[in-house]
Amino acid sequence: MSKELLEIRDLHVGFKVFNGIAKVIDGVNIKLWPSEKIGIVGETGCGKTTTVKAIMRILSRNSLITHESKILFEGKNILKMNNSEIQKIRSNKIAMVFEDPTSSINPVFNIGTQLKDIYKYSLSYEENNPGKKELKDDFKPKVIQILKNVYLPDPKRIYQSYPIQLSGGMLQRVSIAMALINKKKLLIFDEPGTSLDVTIKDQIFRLITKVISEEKTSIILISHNLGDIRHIAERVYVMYAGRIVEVAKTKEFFDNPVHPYSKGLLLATPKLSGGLGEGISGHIPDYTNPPKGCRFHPRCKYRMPICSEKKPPLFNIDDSHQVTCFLFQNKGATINEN
Amino acid sequence: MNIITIKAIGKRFLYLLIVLLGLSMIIFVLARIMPGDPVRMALGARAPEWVVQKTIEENHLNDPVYEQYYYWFKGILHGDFGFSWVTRRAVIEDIKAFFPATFEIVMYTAILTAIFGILFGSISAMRSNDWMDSIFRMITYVGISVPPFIFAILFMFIFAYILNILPAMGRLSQGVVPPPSITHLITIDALLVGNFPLFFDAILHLIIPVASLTMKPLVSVARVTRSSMIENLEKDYITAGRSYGIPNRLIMLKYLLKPSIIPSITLFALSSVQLFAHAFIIENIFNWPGLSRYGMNALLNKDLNSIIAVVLVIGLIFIIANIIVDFINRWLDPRVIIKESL
Amino acid sequence: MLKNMNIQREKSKKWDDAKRGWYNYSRNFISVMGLVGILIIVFIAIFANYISPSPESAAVYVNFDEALQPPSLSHICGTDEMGRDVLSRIFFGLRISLYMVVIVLSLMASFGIVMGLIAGYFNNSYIETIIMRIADMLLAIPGLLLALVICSLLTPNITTAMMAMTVAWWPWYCRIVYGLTTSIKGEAYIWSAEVSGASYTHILFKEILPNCLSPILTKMTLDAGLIILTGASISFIGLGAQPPTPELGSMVSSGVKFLPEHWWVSLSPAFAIVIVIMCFNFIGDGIASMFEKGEG
Repeated sequence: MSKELLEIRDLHVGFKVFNGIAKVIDGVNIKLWPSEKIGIVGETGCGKTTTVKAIMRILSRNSLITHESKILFEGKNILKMNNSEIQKIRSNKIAMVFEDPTSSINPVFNIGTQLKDIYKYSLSYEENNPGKKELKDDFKPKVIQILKNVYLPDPKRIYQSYPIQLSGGMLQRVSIAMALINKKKLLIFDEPGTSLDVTIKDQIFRLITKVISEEKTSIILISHNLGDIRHIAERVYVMYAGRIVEVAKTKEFFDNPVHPYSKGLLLATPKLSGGLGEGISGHIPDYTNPPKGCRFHPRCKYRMPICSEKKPPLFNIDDSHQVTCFLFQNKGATINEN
Repeated sequence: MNIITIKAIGKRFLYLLIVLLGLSMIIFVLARIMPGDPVRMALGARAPEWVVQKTIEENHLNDPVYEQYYYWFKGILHGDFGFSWVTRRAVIEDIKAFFPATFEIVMYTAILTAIFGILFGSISAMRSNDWMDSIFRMITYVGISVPPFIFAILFMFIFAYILNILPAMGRLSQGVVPPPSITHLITIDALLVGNFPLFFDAILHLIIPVASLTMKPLVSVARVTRSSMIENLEKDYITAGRSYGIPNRLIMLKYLLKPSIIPSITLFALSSVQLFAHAFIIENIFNWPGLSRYGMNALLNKDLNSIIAVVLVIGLIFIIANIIVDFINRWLDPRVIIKESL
Repeated sequence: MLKNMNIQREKSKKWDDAKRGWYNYSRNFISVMGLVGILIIVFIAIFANYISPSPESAAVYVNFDEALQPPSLSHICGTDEMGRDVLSRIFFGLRISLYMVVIVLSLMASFGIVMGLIAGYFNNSYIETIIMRIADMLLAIPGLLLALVICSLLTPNITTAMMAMTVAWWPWYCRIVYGLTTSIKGEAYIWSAEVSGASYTHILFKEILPNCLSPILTKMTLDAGLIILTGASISFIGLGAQPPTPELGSMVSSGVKFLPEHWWVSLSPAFAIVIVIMCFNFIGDGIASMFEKGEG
């Protein structure tokens, strides 16, 4: 088995809020191999974005990460890196495309300036270019090139434009351009196309697919749209209330979801064959006072007494299919969180 | 600088000018309603009645209000602000004589406010929750709570009387000859002529008045800068910028600073105009021969022409400050232009 | 059953909001201190007659034997040039200051809000034009200056000063409310209220006004300190309260000529002014942070 590119081990993240500490991420474990594409699925508020922000260490100032949490990228713990190391990672190894492009691009600078700065500072951290290169005019052609690569029409005009002058679809592409200006080992897409209408979203996804197929980049795709996940991901992680509840290969997941929450998710999807689907009653828990034991048990049809007392560990269904649910206690051995 | 900007700003300028004239009309009418006989007050109790009457005739003071306003307005268009009862010369001459002194104070105050206000605000924002921040906030409370005239008295008390290191009154020490009037600003003129002792003397005299006036606006600008930066620090575009590997230093100094100082600049312009009002009182305390003291005397003596002239001058400065802020806002934040063309 | 649950949720949400509001407010030790300070000041102002060592000092009173005494046990802030006890005068001065704040603030805010509501609601009519142009005219020069001009043109006394401040500052409230009203006006619930025949009073005060409350309340608390500052400044020059009225600003001004030997005549009331303004500013900050969006 080759070495993992990224391993998140026992991640716990909390946020200081006015009435206590919101223990949002509660023991998340994710593994990602080079060139692998995984999807993270879950409803709004379940902690998907928080998890990936933890990887890039861009959580807000009131966040707390516990000491035992480890995020290993190429073997090194990101959480313990110093400033210049983490910047090297951000410039050259991992990049993230944010959910809402209209708010994630600085509104008072033009696109060209921002892309130039990203590129310029990445060079001083790039491994292939030891020492700083101060060739000022070298940057603009490269920026124009990357704008062309993301299928933006009239890149020269975009270069000089301000974000307010561009449409949502264009901004999403600019966002992707910012992430791709250097080759990265890992790309994270946080609900791409959520704020766009369907036809534009389709174009964006074509772009994403093209990007993926060309490079050997690993991908984490976050979405609450199961169709997108099925299209792109090789493996699926299902998150609920800050915990991973199920992990499986995509086909296996869609054919045979085992966790009650996953089943609910799939049932909730409207199908062409008829029906709007059923919902899952209830809502996500209050993180400052989460339910004891399994965090899903208040909404679960199949809950047992043990569910409200102990936190369910990860059980094996088979080689690549795991679930955290006491329903499967007898079906397989528990897995250590390693 | 495109045509939309020029047109928009031109429109605003004209509008504000009209508004200012409207205000002058209100004051004019108000003044005519007031009781009191300024002519007699000015000419003295012993002036013969026929002199008083003649003066009243000449200045149309018996005519209906709208006629008086008409004559006054005509005068304005020729740059003639009328005649001051108190100083017995043309108001326009008075203004030319007294304005530079006030401008010197306000200029230094504005410069200090802009530079140090934004500087302290940014530093405090970047180090918030630090002990430096707590000290900063304490100073902030003091700064905005103490009226400028109280600062003036306090500083005068401490530095001039007790410690005796700063002069208490006037622009220059007794017997010191002012420099040739090139810009009419003593400090600049002294520098231009190369007369450093004179320059230092002028600066010494400026320290207490400028310090008293600077406290409040500096602290306000610093506060707004600080809260603006803290608010923007958590915004998505800053987080995104960091995630792309832009160094922290650059994020702070460039990508965070620019959107954050937008409210500061507006506040700065507003504060600077209010300085003229507070300077009224400060100049009174320090015997500073400035516009504000001239205006104060006019107010106390109900010298209508002077009052209106001072109001117009300050109003005009306000308009200019607004225009400048408009320009700067457009340069800093491109969203303004787009919103306007919608 | 569902209705009860909704009401429960409404109540608990309001209670949560109140709790969060108080939490945000009290997180600031300073704001609490300000609140305590103001309560003390209000107490002093109300009971000035009973707690001041020499109540007659507030009125016309001359006692040249005791003139210009430095601070001592019997006169904590010393005496002024007429022999009056400075501390007592400060107590009565606080009463005047608070009186000014209450009156000016309520007049200024109510007039400004009503004007703003009317101007904003009757958009694109001559009513709006008149109101907003007048507001613009009054804002063409700094407020303090306008107030000074008005005070000088009429007889200078406290009432004039209060009127002048009201005239100079109501346009700010008008503008804020105008801006909010014009944007709220387009919302669906306003339109539905109109269609169902609600009166203008109802729409303006029960539908639109509640949405403007938070910026207005913030501004009101911040303005309290401003009113005291301006009032003191106006009196300092002599265009406000006239002697022997123990207004804090005029006390400072009449004491300036006794600097530096008899510093207490001027600096004690100055100190009182600063304390009052600081307390109001502390409270204002606390209220502003109360309306801030909290974490989560």
